[in-house]
Amino acid sequence: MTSLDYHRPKTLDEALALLTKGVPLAGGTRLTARLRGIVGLVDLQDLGLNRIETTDMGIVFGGTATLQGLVEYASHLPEDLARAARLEAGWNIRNMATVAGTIVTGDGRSPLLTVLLALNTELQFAPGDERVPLDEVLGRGDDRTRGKLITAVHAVLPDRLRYAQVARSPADRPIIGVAVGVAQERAAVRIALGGYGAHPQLMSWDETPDAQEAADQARSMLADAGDQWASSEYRAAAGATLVTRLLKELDLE
Amino acid sequence: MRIEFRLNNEQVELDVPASTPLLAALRDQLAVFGVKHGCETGECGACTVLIDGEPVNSCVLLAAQAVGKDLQTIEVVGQHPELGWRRTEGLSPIQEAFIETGAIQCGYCTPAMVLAAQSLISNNPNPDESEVREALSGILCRCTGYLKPVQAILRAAAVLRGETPEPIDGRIPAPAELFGPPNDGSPSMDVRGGGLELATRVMPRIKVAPEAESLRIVGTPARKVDAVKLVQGKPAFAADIEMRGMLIAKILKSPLAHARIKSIDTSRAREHPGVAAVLTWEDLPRVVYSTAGQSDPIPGPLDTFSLDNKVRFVGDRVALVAAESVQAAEEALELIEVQYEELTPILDPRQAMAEGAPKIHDQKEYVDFDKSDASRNLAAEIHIEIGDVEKGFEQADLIVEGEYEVPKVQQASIEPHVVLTYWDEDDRLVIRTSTQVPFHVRRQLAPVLGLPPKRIRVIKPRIGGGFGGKQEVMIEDVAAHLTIATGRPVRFEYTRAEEFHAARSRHPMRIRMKTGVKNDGTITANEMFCLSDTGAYGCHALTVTGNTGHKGMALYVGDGEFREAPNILFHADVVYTNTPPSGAYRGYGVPQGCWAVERHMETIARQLDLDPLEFRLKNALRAGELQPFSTAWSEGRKPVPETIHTNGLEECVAQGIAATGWSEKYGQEHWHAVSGKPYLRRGIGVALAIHGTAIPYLDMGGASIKINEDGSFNLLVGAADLGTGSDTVLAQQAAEVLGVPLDDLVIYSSDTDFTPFDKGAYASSTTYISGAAVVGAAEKVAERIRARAARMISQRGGKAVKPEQITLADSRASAPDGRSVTMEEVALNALHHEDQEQIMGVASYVSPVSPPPFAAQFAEVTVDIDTGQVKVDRLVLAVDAGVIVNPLTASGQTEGGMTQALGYAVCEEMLYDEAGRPRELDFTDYHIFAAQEMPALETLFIETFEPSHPFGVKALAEIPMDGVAPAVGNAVLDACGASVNVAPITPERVWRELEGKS
Repeated sequence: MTSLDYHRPKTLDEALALLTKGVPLAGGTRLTARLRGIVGLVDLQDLGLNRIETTDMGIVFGGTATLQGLVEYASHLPEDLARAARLEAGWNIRNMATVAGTIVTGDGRSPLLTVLLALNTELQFAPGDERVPLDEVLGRGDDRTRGKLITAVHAVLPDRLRYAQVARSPADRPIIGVAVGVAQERAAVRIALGGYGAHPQLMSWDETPDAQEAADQARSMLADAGDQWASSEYRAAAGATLVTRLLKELDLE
Repeated sequence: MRIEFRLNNEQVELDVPASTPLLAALRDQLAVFGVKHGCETGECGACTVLIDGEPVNSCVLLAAQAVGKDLQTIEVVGQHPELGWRRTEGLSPIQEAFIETGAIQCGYCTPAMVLAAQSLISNNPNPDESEVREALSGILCRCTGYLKPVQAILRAAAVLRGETPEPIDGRIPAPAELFGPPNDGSPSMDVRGGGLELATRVMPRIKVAPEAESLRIVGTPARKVDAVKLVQGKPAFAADIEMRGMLIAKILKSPLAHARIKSIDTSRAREHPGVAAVLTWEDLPRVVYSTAGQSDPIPGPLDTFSLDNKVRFVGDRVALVAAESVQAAEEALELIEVQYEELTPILDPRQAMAEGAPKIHDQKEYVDFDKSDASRNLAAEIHIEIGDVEKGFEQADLIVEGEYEVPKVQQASIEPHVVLTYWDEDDRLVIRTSTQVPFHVRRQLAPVLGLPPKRIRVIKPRIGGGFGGKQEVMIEDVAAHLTIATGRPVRFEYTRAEEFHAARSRHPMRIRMKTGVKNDGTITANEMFCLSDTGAYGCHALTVTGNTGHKGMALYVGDGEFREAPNILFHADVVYTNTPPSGAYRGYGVPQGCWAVERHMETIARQLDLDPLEFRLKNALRAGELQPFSTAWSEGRKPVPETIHTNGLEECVAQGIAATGWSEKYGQEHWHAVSGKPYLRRGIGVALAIHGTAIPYLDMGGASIKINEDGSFNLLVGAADLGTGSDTVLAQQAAEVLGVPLDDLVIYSSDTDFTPFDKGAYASSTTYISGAAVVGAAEKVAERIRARAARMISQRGGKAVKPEQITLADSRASAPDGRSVTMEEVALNALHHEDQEQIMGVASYVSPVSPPPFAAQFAEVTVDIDTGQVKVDRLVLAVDAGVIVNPLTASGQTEGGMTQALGYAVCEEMLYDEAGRPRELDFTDYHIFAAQEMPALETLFIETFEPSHPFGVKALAEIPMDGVAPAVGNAVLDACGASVNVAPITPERVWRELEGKS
């Protein structure tokens, strides 16, 4: 029978050393049901990485900070960031799942991942304390994370943030989700398109884009976004609509 | 590995593999059965435990992760207040509130909800409704619609704050006129939390039938008789049992949609450590049967084998394994080597009967029923003609045609299919199974297993929801074959993915409607052609689709001369495809028909510029008229014409209009606009529905009642309470006859060795059929009690009294002059003192009629006209289901039914790729509504007194499924002009209609 080793390190160094023997286990909400082929687990719960704190630059989620921790920190956060965490999962799972784990395992249908991409989010890895922009990590599979731990998720809080999604019901996974983050007044804008694919897609401008230009670009990016849940034609139209609508709500028309 | 944690205030140590989920450790090693299995991926929350006070899902948490933690399960939340001489602190206020509000239906998710509520209230003593709903967001419930659990938690929070909520009222008097806007004037609990007024309340509003006003127990919101055990998470379900030496069964599933098995090599699997048996089609007798749990003879083809040399859908059975553990069984599956001859699959029902189509059932053992024809992939054909539709079309001013489509959807009970089998000491096979049809299981499996029925005992414990999905003899044979092979107990339980792979579902259908109508709105002829997809096997093929016409097309007979002689045609081809089998699902074909008919009626009304409700009522069936299909069809048996005696449809419509404020909304432009959001439009829609109450001359229920020495009674029924509350309403009917409180009825259901026969829980029959049997048995007991009591009272002196003068009430048998004896005295007299006898009664009932319930279903929506997104804001159901035996359990049925139907309307759908592989394998992709996203729900009961039942009841369980989807579709049309004829009403479908791209 296949055996599985479980490790629960007490220190980061110990955890990093154990990564040669297994994969990181944060909340486990995705991993537990998918243990086939895994020979070892490195449980991160005792590393003390569950802090959430506000800094001058934004907000920092420790590597094992939970989604519920984020929700309970809502008074310090843009409303739609907490709302995206709520949309991500129900209470029970939010008590277990981590922000970092959601980033690593989430796909394009993740509301939180879509919103985090619209923020200027960076992942801090150990060893080395390297900080890598989220959009550089997404789509790279294990390349950027193998043998490393995410010790923190740094999200630059924007001046304004909006998230909207179209789904079959209010709490269903999005068919199309759009997050718009505005870093400075009428300046840098990041728009993330989610609801499909392996991960959300990013559009960004250093200065406020023309709404029509942004909508057209969204439509273009969604031109091949068809799957079993929606056609590309629909996603392109609905995505462009949401982009236009959110920019208008943010007075960025 | 050795692990330790604190569980329910005690330190526990375990030796488990590191890969063991906490759920498995708790249930399999520690026998903590209050933690339930509903899925393996964390979506359903049935496995909730509190870790350090916070709710988490134990199915996606490794036991090792819990080391050092403090765990709490339902087992320490509260207990029965009186345990013999020991008094306890009793149930917790949260548990009490769940019972009192009727928040418990099947009870499978109840422990999880109680724990979540405890965690919420401990952190937030004054939660508002939205906070309560958020606290329940991680726990899916398929029974309740969440309304009553939310009320329960708010009520419990109030109690824990030291407040005294209003008591839940008993009878609600009939209003003088119409009910009026929601929540005006009706007695109800007024529990508010955090200052937020609730959208709806626990008690439904009821217009009580005058004939029922004098009833004392029937009509009251009695506590469910099984609530105390369910709220404690007692080991009441099929899998909640430990057996020494028990094996775990697993199935090797087909990866192909259509293939012949050329060879199977099981040698490596058989040698794998921990494996006790591996069975293939070569190991089993070749017995053809049907898995549809129905009365004898099965009204459908016999086309199924426990294992076959051919697979007919992705997920079909290839081999069975029994092993010492789940892991060993799963590893063994991987060691079975199968060579397939791949065959061309049929995935589109439109191609099933095409010339040259591959034959899905080419086995020589196939047994036809009626017009089934395996050579054409035809599982059933139904053709019903009433009157002359062609003549009717000629008389019409307008012919309206339309095509409609409904999807394959699943019952998705939170408790998966689960069975446990073992040989008892008499070498009789015991099958403990989560089934709606225990007696059918025994009868239908006997030949498959090579046993006579007398050597099989089927035990139906509590059921964690069924909704038709367990009206199927679907997995019992797997465990039974493996017990026969090994001699050991075997447990077999579907995973959630296996439920989606291989369990039954609602028949998807394509329906073509053609209706002739005069300019004044008189329907002259109505025609429906239906292509129904039964999937790989023909279980329920004939009867489900027959009901699509039998009830779906029965409501609109026409008016005037057409009312006297309606012209209706229904034709259906039910075809095989290489997809998972369809089957019984609450509504049983009627929701499919109702979608087509009610969307079609809306189209006609709008084309003729008629008020949609006036148009419908003008043509609708009325009391005193024949159910038109009763003259022509009865599930493959001889039809007997039935007259409708009670029909509250017009009042349902009137009350629904008043309750929804229909007149201020429908056709009122100002209401449709949403201020400040020009891209949003409101809409209101309606659908009418008719259903049935049991199958006449076929469905039979039995009951027995005996008195005990304390004046209590044992009530044994074969009826299968699958969470609906049927045990409670059956006991209420007995208590009404016997004049005792409900607490004095000890009900048990069901066990084929001990309880009388009952055909099972389906066809909306239990309250009516089994209820009539219970009343019959109770009347026999009451007769014996009256005779004995009359003698006892006469013997005590005074004027002699006759048995017929004795009345039974308040646990006493009383003479007209007030002399009385207690029920206990009667019991002791009968059992010990004089002319000893066991006072008992046995009765059964089969009905010559199927009195239909009627309903008006209203829906309000908001549509985003740019994206097509639909948000359902409110559902109001006004229903005539005869006399309501228990308004709490009944409204639980309507709220839960509307919620399931809401999924059918907007989000539930099972799709397959070009190879027949399912898109939906979990509750993320197969989305069912959760607490935090529910619209407002309201039920109005408009009672009539059905004369064919002693207490005037009709059916209720299924009709809430019928009207929601078309009402939502009609509301979307009203909102924005999008006429979506394919369910579910997804954003893209609405958008395509709006863009003219459909």
